[in-house]
Amino acid sequence: MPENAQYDLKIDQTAPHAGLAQEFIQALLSAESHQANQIALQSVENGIPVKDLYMHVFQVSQREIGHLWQTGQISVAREHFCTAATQVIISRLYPHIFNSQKIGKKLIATCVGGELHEIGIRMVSDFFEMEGWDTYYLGANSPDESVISTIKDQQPDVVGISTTMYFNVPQVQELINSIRREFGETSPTIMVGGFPFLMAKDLWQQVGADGFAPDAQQAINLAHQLITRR
Amino acid sequence: MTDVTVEKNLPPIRGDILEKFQALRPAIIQEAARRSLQFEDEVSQHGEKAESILKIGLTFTVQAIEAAMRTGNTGIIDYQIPWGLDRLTVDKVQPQHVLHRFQILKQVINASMQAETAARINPYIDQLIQKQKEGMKNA
Repeated sequence: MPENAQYDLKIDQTAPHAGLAQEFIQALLSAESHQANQIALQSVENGIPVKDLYMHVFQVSQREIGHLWQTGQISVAREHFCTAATQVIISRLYPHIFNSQKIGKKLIATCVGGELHEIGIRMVSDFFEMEGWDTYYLGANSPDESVISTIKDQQPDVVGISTTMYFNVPQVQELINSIRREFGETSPTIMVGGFPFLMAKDLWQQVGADGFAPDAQQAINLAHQLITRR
Repeated sequence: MTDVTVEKNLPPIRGDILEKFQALRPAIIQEAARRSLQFEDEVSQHGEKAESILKIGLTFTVQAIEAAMRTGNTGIIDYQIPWGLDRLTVDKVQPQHVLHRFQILKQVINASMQAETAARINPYIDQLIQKQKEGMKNA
């Protein structure tokens, strides 16, 4: 029986580490989180860069799992299990992530109030950490006033704001407006990310952000470009 | 209903009109659900959960319209339609019934708001209806 006989997986078999992604997803879907953990840790020990795991295994698996829920192939409980297990596995990779040489740049990464899907912005934040940025990750459902007070305290170069659900787009717009009102010309560079911005062209501009990137690597490249321009 | 030509980007709607729409949101959802429930052949498969399912669906729909209005970006509506076509059948909600509910929603919004205000909102609802029709045709 083919490995994916049970589920209609859409993994691009020509993508880097597609086989690894498939194994990882199968382990999660079989509720074998220890197996998924082993796959990830063993891969790093075998020399696969952590960034590659993020881009080609964790990001791919999250999209697949979302698709499986959307098409009714798995329950919401199974979807949450897979995401939670992935977050635990990511945290076990932190010794590999938090050991880069610092470059003197700082990122605050947050989801807007009401937004509970945090794994995407967490992965972006980890990418910045791996690139030598100091990161201040606020996680899911962050109230505007807390974000603003953290900006005052931390004085970041970049604030990354994420939402997965379209109905939180107005909150992104409100948070950006609040930051600009509060800090004026000294506002940090504001980048946005998440599914609505990926799907709706120019939305990032319409909410008032300085930039949008479709994935973690491009977010780093764009952040460097934007702060150089200032 | 006649098909309409829709723009990708529309003038954003904020301020008074948006506030009025948000204030009326609970009543609009309630009334659209009430009218939708009258079409028993479209809701009977949901049994006792029918009203709750309708209200959840209408809430998601109105939130999509609001997000699109605030930014002027109808892409927010566009990508939700194929998502809904995939997902809602899993929940035993048929695409043609969704289309009918969008049409009911438009009627309710137009009955609830002043004509001038509704005229600003209608292009967003027309986009919703148009995209649903296209999605059903392509399915």
